[in-house]
Amino acid sequence: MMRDRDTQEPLDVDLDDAELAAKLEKTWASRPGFWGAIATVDHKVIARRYVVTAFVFLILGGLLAMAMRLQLSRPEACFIGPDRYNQIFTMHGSNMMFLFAVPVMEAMAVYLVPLMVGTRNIAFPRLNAFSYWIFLFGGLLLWLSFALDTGPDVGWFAYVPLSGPQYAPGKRADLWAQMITFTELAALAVAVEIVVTVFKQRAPGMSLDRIPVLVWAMLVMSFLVIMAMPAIMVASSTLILDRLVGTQFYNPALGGDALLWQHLFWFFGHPEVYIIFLPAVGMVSTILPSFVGRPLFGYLLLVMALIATGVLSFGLWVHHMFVVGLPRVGESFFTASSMAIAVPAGVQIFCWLATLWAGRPVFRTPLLFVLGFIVTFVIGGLTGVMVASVPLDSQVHDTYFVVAHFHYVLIGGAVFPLIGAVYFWFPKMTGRMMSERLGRWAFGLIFTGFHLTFFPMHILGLWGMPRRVYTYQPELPWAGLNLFISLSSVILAAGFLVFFIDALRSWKNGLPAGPNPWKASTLEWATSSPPPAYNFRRIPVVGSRDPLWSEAADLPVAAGMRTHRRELLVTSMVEALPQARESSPSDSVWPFWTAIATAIMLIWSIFSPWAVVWGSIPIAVALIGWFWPKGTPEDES
Amino acid sequence: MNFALARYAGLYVPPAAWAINTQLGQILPYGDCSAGAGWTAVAAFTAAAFAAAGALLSRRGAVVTASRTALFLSRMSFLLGLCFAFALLMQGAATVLISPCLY
Repeated sequence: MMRDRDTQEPLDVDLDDAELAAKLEKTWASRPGFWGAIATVDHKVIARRYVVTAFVFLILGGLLAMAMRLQLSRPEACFIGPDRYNQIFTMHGSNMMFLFAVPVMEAMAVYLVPLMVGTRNIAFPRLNAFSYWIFLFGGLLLWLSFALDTGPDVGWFAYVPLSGPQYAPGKRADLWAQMITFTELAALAVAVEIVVTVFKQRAPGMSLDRIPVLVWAMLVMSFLVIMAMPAIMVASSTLILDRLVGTQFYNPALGGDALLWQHLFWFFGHPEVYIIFLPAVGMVSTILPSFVGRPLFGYLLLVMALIATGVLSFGLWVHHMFVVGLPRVGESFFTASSMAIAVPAGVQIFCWLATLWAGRPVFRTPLLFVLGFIVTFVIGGLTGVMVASVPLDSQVHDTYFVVAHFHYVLIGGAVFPLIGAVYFWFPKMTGRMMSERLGRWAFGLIFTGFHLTFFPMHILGLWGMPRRVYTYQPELPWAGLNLFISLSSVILAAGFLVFFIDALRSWKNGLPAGPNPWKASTLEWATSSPPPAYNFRRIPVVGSRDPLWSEAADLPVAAGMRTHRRELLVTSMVEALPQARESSPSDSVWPFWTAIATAIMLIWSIFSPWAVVWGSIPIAVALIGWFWPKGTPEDES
Repeated sequence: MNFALARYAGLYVPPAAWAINTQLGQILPYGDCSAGAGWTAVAAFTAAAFAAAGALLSRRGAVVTASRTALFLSRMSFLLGLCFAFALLMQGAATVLISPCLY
């Protein structure tokens, strides 16, 4: 029998399946109880928390949207006053972008990437736990401030000088800015984990040309986060400095520059759209093959399109600033890039259409949402090309045309695939199927409600209705369409209600799913549903892009892993050749305490710059606790 | 040039050319307007040529003796390079159509 040289513990190769599973469970499972739940570093548990929290924020943001639609349903309505309305549209946008869309996509990455690349946990799992707590505290900060009637009222992009000390007294803008710091810190942490997991923890044989498209998408998204998020963190921090310390970054009268804010914000803000959209591309590319019964058409093209989109997304930001008075030639460069990005987007669409065309589609709920996505996103993409043109954008800037466009892109381009993904991976996450009947109802209501709600907004915009107005006069020709939109939004909300009811009901009472209910081809379906704490009893070895289709009967596995400690296989970046066995950190409460200390420092720093000095002491103490050797087998590298 | 670097030139030369030209597009029009020059156009078309060259270098790396993964990366680099060459040609076209003095 082969044993570990140091501990004399048997290696996995000498244990039968049942013995191995028992040993791995003992090594990898979290402790039961409250502190066990706080300390867990299991990527699946943390991802589920992330997803649930993000969907709670979606519900809250949706309720705000309904409140706005109620207010706009007739002219000169008095349901909501102007100040509260300002808070509501700021909260809606900030919440949906920073607390729902980005976190939920990263959460899906946290859950799926380690499973899809065939490893036992995400890289830096304690950082992952820290990330969730920071995200939660940032979300609570924003919503508590809103509940106390001190919610930010400066729009989701908080343009200076309106968000500066002169025009925004009080702490509303600071709360917004610091919420940004919380959520971006959380996002950056996850992005680093995903990059390392994809590059160094792939199953042997999963060379770069065999990585699932979803994993490629999450990898590109993570690079976008790493490149884009620092810009907004710099922006929000300098805004707080202007407001608290008296620096003048954004004050032109004293050498600052108000346009600097817009550049910093949109240098982050436009890639943000793709941070949300690219994971959706990955989801669609993964869901489609399972329902058409054939491999994805144009793998190479899709990967190229993902990377091209990711890079080009950094050259589009000025198309949000076409009316600020930059040189026209310079602006036209951003028009050119904005139109050029339609090329990789078109490549993606044609690859999906070809996959559908060459396969035999089975129209289950996930595929319905994918089809809804294709239709909706193409419409949103077309209006995107329209607003990429300076003359047209100058006309419709800050009107409901833009509101319609970005909801088509964000809901059509991200939320439709996301809900399809929830229907697709819910069985993996919970071990239970969602209802096909309720799923079809949810799709029908959401698709119909969405188009009835948002398509007329294009017309409203062309009729000149500006964004962010809390009411309008009866003599303006907008009342009829606004009432129609508000009524249609009820259909959309009903669709989401059906979806949430289905998810809650199925969580406990859905039909048992089995390991691979969709007969899908990627590695996450090679383990049980829900997966055990250690993900895979034995690390799979990959020989093709669709391992469960080509080697379903006998998936080869790697042998020689230790079982007495949490251990991962580290592989090479390009060919995924095994390089080392590396320990994976054990559970720890210190990420939680570090997050609490960080949250105290960040919130305190809204009120006093000295918080950065004194608040760093508890953070340092918590970090020492985090990294202090505990004498566990995982301490050995 | 290192062979591997050349094989993957499409991955970094065209995006770099595009990024640099996008920045130059914010700087050069002021000079072009005052001096009546066409440096913005020159920069854009030169960058497009660099992007195309990067793509072609990657194409040359896709030889039959290369490994499967290397072939994949070469082909992807080639296509990626073409994408950026197209974006740069569009930027170049803009410099021909629009006056640098227009604000």
